[in-house]
Amino acid sequence: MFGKNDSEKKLDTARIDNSRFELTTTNTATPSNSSTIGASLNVQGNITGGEDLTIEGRVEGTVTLKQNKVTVGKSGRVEANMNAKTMIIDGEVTGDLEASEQILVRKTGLVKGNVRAPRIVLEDGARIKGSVDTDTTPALSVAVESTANGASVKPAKTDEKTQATRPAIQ
Amino acid sequence: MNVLRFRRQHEVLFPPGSYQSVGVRSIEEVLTSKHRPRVLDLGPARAGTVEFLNRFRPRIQIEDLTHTLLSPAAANDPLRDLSFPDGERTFDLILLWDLVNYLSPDQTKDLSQRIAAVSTPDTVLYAQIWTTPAMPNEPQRIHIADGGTIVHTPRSARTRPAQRITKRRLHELLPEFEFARSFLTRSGMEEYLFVVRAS
Repeated sequence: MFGKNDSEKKLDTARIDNSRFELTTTNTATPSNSSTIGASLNVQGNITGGEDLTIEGRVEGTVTLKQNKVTVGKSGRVEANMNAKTMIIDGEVTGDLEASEQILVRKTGLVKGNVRAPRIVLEDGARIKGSVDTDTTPALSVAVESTANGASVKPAKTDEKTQATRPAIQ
Repeated sequence: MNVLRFRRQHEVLFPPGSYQSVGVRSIEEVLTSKHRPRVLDLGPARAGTVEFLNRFRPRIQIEDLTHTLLSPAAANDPLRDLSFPDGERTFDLILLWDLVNYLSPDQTKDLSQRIAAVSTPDTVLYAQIWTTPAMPNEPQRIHIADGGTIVHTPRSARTRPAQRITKRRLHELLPEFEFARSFLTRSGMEEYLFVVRAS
């Protein structure tokens, strides 16, 4: 839908506003393919699909591209929870971000929301208001792995209060 | 010759505004004593600090009061955007950095009350207080670097008179916390560690 063709050029200069719709990209055969939401576009709705996406315009809703890269450009303004393989944030995002590989927040990036990925890279100057969590391993899988290695089986969820010890500060 | 070489090496290891922090070692002790420690960072997101903290598989909450303090629209009420998520009721480590130097006494007391509400008897509060007559005009960019070094980067060359905050004054400003340790650095910045005051 967002392939680089004549229709995209038209979309780049159009304004899609006050309408809720669902965008689905289905081009999984060419993973290097990417789409762009131009700076003048205003999209409200859910974006799903199988190609990389660059957002230079405004997006409200959700963005789910689990096998792909999402880039929010400097002029991009996103109010959405986003889920992707990797993300690069140059613009402003309000919402929770989750990536299966990496999230990079550049120095011009602003994130108001929770950021979760195995690898989170922040450039100095990047702004985040929310939580940063690099531990994406589900507790259950940790317990299963321990069993396979012959280690003692621990409950998947431990009571941190009972484990906690007084810090070594006297 | 050897002295010059040593000085050059020292400057590479410790560029101006950086110092080997004893406080960071104490922070490490706190983090290693916890399983998935919860950290509340009241300063801005800094790559080095997040990288350092990530070694302990923490859950980090970044509130960035510095940005609010520097914003003219919110300078009179820098705590207005301070919020804690419902799921994170308490934190093991709270990084206050140098913010106390830039908050009014009433703002500091208000902040103390609010962070005490998300603290446990095990919570450690880390703060930096200027002991010199002058201090940078704005909160500095501070991050933890390799080897337990803390790096300070001033936002400008301007300075202003520092508040004279003694230990006794800190107890008044942070009434919910009690002094645990302090370390004076060569820059005149004193690192403080507090724990929640036993009631």
